[in-house]
Amino acid sequence: MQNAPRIIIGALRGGSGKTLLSIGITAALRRRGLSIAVFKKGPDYIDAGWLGKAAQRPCRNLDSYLFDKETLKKSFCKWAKDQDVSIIEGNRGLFDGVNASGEYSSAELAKLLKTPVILIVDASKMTRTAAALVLGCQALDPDVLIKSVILNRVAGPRHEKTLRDSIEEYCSIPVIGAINKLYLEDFPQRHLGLLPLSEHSGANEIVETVANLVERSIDLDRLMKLAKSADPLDCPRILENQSRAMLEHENLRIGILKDSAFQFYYPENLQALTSTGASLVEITALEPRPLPRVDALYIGGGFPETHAEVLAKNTTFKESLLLAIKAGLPVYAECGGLMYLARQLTIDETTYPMVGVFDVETVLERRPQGHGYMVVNVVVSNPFFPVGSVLKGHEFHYSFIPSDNINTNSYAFKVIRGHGINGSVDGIFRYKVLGTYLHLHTLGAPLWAMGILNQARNYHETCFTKTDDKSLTQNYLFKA
Amino acid sequence: MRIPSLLISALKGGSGKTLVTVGLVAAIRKRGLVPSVFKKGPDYIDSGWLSLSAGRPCYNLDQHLFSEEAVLNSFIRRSLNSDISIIEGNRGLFDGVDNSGSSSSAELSKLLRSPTLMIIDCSKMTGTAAALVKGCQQFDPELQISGIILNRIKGTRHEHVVRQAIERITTIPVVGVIPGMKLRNFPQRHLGLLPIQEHPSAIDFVEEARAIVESGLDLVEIEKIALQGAITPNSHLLNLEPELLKTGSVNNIEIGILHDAAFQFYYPENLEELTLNGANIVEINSLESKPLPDIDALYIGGGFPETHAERLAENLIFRESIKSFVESGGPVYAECGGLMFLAKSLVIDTKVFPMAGVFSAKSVLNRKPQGLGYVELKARGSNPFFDGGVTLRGHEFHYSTMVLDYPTKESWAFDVLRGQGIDGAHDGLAFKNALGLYTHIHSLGEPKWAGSIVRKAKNFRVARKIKSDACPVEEDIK
Repeated sequence: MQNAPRIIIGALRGGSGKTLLSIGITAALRRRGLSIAVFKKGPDYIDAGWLGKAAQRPCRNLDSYLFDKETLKKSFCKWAKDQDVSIIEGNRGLFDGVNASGEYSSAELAKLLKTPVILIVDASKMTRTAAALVLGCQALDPDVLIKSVILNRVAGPRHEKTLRDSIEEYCSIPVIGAINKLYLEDFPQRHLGLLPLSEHSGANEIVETVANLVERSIDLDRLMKLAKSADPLDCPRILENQSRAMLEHENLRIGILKDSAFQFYYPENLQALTSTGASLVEITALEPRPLPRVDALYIGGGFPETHAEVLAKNTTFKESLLLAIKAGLPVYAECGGLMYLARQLTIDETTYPMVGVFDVETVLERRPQGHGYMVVNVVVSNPFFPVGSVLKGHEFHYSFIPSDNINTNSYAFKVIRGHGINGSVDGIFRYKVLGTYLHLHTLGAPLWAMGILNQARNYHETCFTKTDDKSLTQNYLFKA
Repeated sequence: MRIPSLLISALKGGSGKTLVTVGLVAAIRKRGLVPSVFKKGPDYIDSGWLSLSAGRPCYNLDQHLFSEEAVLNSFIRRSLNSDISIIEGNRGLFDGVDNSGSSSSAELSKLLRSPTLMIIDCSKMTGTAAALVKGCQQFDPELQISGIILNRIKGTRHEHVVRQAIERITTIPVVGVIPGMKLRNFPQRHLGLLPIQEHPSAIDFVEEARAIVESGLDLVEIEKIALQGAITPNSHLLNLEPELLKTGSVNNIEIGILHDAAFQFYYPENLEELTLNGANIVEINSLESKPLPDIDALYIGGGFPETHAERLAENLIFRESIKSFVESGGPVYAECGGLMFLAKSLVIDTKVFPMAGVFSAKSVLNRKPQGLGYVELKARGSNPFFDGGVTLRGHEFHYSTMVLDYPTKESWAFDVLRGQGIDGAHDGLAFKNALGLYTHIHSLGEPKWAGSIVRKAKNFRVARKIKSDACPVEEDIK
């Protein structure tokens, strides 16, 4: 591959301002008319959403724990190709991995993709010690190309000068930007990261504000020079039209719930569902309209808790969905989707009736109930995955299922790593519906899309093929 | 004999130093040892907590304000009657006043040959912590970092990964792990802790900190590390005898200090130094409605007049007695909160609280610090306490600004060479023998400080005596 200008933005820890500055840098470079590919390290949806907004094109997740190295490289090469610059936002601390040797860390990703690192240092309540910390990162692994520093939360010109001078003197790398701490106070933050986009009315405005801030505070010419200094990347050969030859699912319609309650979908996952010809139907659960005719439904994560009342009151949609499910509609639901398909959602003292496919309630807590990578074994025969397969993904949920309503249901997964529903099971299923706290990325779980498409085809054939001209309702009545 | 000691440091402020130090001191006491306590830097509030925890005064050590010899002298002298000396560092380990890190906690650790324990705030970080430790070791190989304390650890897996990562690439042992938790009694305000005087149940916090330290830190190992402390009292030329009274003849000089919930920032050395210069210290409560007692000078330290503004304002008797004391030529030396109290009024949001009214200026409270850090001053000719041209070093930390009422009856007492002071160029308002300034002075840094106050007190006493001898018979005149 030709030289692909690129940088990875790392930090000493989470909460140092990586996302904010990655958004600002991306938007500021876009203003210069550059074409930018954006990537988020790790499985995070929210940061990726903001980066996509800043770049005005989808952000791709790169996760070396979930994807094998070749797949990851391929994905990076595919999207970085022919772009003026690629920006990868790291996650957590630069050397934080799944274990003490930092496996799957941002630093490891930087080495795999031979990408220069810009280190963001949260300089609050610290001056010269910052140089010791940068020095430590340089020393820990000299193969990680830490090329420059951006200072965040600087208290004023004197603070900035001390930090700049010490880092340049002791670490011999330039400080290419310094952000004052006062500017960032009203940036939206929920849970551990940022608010998801569609919930934030002023999202565009925020992106532009941050871009202004970056233009004032970061030397973008030096940043681009740095990005261009990256060595050429050897890319695996990509077979462009391997999938176009087979459009075996051309007649299928796959629904996804997409509104301000449900929004966590990796672009690659949606592509995997449509690459063999199926079409995607976007559906909202917030409006009182019945479910349109689809052959399968995929419900991603989101924040049903912030829309619990609207979801609960929308009986038109809930009932039509339940009816279709009883008629055999395949539904694959992750996290927020699982919560929606449960009997009820309890927030503090209030209980909201949900769709009621699964005979469990979910209860919202103030602290995360599961957060991190997950590995499950498929142990019970179910509509979507063959028994014996191993699935890797991640979970991040504030809700849980009380233990007294766990036993009466069927579960497809045995949890090997992570928490899932109760630390040992996940993948609750009934009818042709599977609900799980596990989020899968198709690049790490190639089986996933095929499971949904196969079920969709079965349902389509039994339900619609011979009664094409009948109305949806009649179909359901007939089946029921 | 060597002095067992430990310096508790961190990568940045806010990492949990005070919690750990306060708890460690209390835990060590519980184990039957007598700790002496020190705070690096000019901070009053952390010192207050440390002294509460130790049950004896905490002494500040500040290489920027004091000479190296004064730092060593104070450390050794205050360590002699204890089993272990605990020093709480400040800010980041290598943060100093300049890029060479002079007067950093690391430099203090080397000067006092004190092993350093380093606290790492591990929130939102795992293996990267090892890089930070390695960086600190490489940054100054002469510094002896002897143990790591992991703070804000979230569960055993988090602990395991961080611990392993540090042990994999360094030889420094992890001697303590503190979980991330909500502290019930944690007295945080502004940039640091609430002063103990304002904390409703100060001792509960000390007990909570002790419990945390006892369950998270390896105290046996930490005491072993303290034994590596390598300074010996006789390795330095020190005058360890109690200093002789400098002005033995001037006895019965009475210097009042305001000491209550509103005013509390007094370095123990400053009061000792006044005493050594021949003064008796008289503690006065500004919140009681009584006039000022019969004194020869008044010293008002810093504090939080803003949190007691209403009660100070209501205490008319006291306020007026201060004003007439100044009118009659009484020497008053007021720092920071004291300056605010001497002003005409204190403005908080839209409320105006009348104060002593010695100066015509008023003070206005802001939400952000208006001056924070070291100060260097040069006395002007109009200074009641110091000769013109004399320079002083101290520090400031104030959320208020002074608004001067021109034309003003008071005059500037100092030019500011470094820092903010009152207006960036000046500090110190002077009227008659009253001086109010934002800068805090430590007597170990400015040995002339106590002498000038006592001299002024003596002069006032003599003048009063002459006056009362000359016209003793006000009543006879009638």
